[in-house]
This record gives sequence, C-alpha cells and structure tokens, in this order.
Amino acid sequence: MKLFRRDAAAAVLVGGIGLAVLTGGTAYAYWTTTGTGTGEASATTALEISASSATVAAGLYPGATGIAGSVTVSNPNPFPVQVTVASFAAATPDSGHASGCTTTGVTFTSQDLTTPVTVPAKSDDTNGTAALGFTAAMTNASSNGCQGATFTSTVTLTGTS
Amino acid sequence: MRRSATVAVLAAALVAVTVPAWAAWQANGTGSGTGTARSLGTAGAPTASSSTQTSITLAWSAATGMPSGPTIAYQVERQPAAGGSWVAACTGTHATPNTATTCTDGSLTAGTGYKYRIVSAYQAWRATGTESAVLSTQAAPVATTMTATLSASRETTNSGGGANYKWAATVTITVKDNLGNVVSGAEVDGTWTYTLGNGNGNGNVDGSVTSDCTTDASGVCTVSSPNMQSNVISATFTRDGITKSGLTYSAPTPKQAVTAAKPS
Repeated sequence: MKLFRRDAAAAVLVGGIGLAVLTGGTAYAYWTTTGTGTGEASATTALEISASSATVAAGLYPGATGIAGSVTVSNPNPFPVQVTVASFAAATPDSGHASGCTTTGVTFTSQDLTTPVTVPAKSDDTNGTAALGFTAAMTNASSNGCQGATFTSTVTLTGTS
Repeated sequence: MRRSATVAVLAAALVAVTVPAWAAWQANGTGSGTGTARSLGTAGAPTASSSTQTSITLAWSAATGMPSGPTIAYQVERQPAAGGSWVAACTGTHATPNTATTCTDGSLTAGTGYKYRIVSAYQAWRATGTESAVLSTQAAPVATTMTATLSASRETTNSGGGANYKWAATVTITVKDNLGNVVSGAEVDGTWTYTLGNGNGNGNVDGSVTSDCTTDASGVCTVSSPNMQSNVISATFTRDGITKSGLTYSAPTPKQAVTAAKPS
C-alpha cells in the first residue's frame, strides 16, 4: 500500500507536468491554476481588471498639453496585478457635441509605466484598486464645436500578476 | 528507491515549470478616461467712445474663459440698425482678428445708426458676444444759407470806329452755401446800369436792364451786357437777390455790385 500511494502521487505529478506543458503559450495569459492538497488540478478564469474615470482632465483648450487626469483600476482577482501597458484610444466627444466637434484634437497619454502600477488583490468582497494617471492634450486644430465638450477615451489595460 | 528518486525528480521538474508560469499570467481589461474642454468666453457688448460723421470708435471688455497663456483675439461685426446681415467691421476679419479691445470703424454714412457685436476668437474657437445698442455717426451739417461772389470781364466785340464800335461786359456769379458747397439751380437776379461819357451825358447813368441766370452744377452762372457803344464807359451789375429752395439769401447792405469798364 505504501508503494502504491507513491506510484499514485508520481502519476499525479506527471499529469501536472503534462498540464503545465500543454497549457503553455497563450493559455498562460488567461488562466490561473490552483492545486489541491491531493495533487488534483483545476483551472479557473483570471477575471478582467477594469478602469473607471476618477479624475477628469478638465480645462482643455486648443494648444493645451499635460492636463492631468486619472482612472481607477479595479482588480477582482485574488492576486495583485501589475499594470504594464495602458493604451488610450482616440477620444470621442459626448453626443451633444458630436456633430460640431468634427476634429477633437484630443489625445490621452498614460503615465510612464516603466514602473508598473500595482493593483492590490481582492480582499474579502472588495476589489483591489489603484490610480493610474494620464495626461490629455488638445491641438490647435480642435473644431469650434468642441467647446464645452466632454471627451471619453477607451483605455485598454494589460496586467500581469 | 528508484521509484522514490523518480518521484523526486518529477516533482522538482513540476515546480520548475509551474513557478515561472505564475509570473506570466495576465489580467487584462478596459475602461475609460475622461476630459472636458473649456468654452471660450464672450467679450462685452461694445460701446462707442467717439464718433464722427463717417466713423465710430468702439471699445469692449475682454473675453474670459481661457487660461492666462492664450491671447484671445476679436473680430468686430456690424449690422444696420434696422437689422440685416452681420458683416466684418474695423480692420479685423474672421481670418485675421485683432487682439486689441478697441477699433475704429470707418467709411460709414453720416447720421446713421448701426449695431455691433464682438466675436472672440482663439484658434478655431469662436464665441459671439451680445450686440450693442444702436450706435450712430454724427449727423451731417445742414446748409441753411448761401452767398455769392461776382467777377466782371469785358471785351471789344467790334473795334470799328464811331458807331460801329461795340463792347460787352460779362459778370460771373458763383453761389455757395454756408458749408462751402456750391449751389446749383440757384436763380440770380440783378440789374445792369450804365455810365455814359465822351460828351454824351458824361458821367450820367443811362437806364437799367434786368438780367438773371441760374447756376449750373458748378454753382456758376453768367450775365452779360452785349453790344454797348463807345459812349458807354462802364457797365455795373448789381445783384438783387438769389433764390433757391431750402436756402435763404441774406442780402448784404449795400447790395453787391461789380463794374466793368469799357476796354481802353
């Protein structure tokens, strides 16, 4: 019986190695694996982090640069996430200014992420959060109809544990 | 023992493979950032600091709404007091607005009212301010009186001897109003009187002839006394009056007169 348990344990470990190898590449990016005390393996999805506007980059005008704002990054995972890339898409005006603000001239740029922003793990029922700064700018080409507009830029976040 | 060794090696291998995998796990996501734009402020409604018959000098309070860096410029627009299209005024245009908060709009019509408004400008942004009250140029002065000047000339029209000799006198009248403008269509009335000489009633005034003319577009007209004989040594034209609708003529005392002497 003692030898049999060792054989079984070895088999589980070999299976584990095979799983680790088979789930290489892209799968690493989206899956996390937790093992049990008996050597059984199961997989679960790494939940997406999210960002919501925290500080509005207020006061844009033609020629403005470095107008500071921030988003709050929320991490629902039970492990901390380091945001290494934050890519802002083209800014779009609110619906009330869409027809007149044909050229926004607005760009959003993330803070320097050479040192990633660490978003703490979820604790109890509360997601971990961290602020990620950005700056907004507006070129002189901004259309007359952009006055008073609110601009939104979708940010795509890449985080690692 | 071999099995135990094998298990140990495999376990070590498993750890070696899985531990780096934790570091590469990614948790991606999306969200959004927000920014808001200012609104360019409007300048105050312009007021007139001075005016002439053909110009109005405007001044207005500066626009606000921008940080201290950008220099806001202004374009001035004018509209007839009764309404109509807004057109660029002063020296500024939509393409090249002024940065000053004052300007003089020229080439206007005397005694005419206009409305103005200021469009503040920064890059492509524009903000139209409220329009002014009706601002007017000064009324043109109205001519009320007129005056005239006379000048006489003479010429020999027939140099034959005796009764064949003839000469003529001509008087040119120029009428102007009190503003210095020539007056056309003014009717000038006067009387010719003649002085005789050469032993034929020497020094006496021999009769009179009325004569009149109407000024042309240059405010000038002429009266003539032709065919005077050699015994008429001078002809004098005395202006009796000038009439022109809307203008009054204050006749000087004594009446204006001019004399042409017979050519020597």
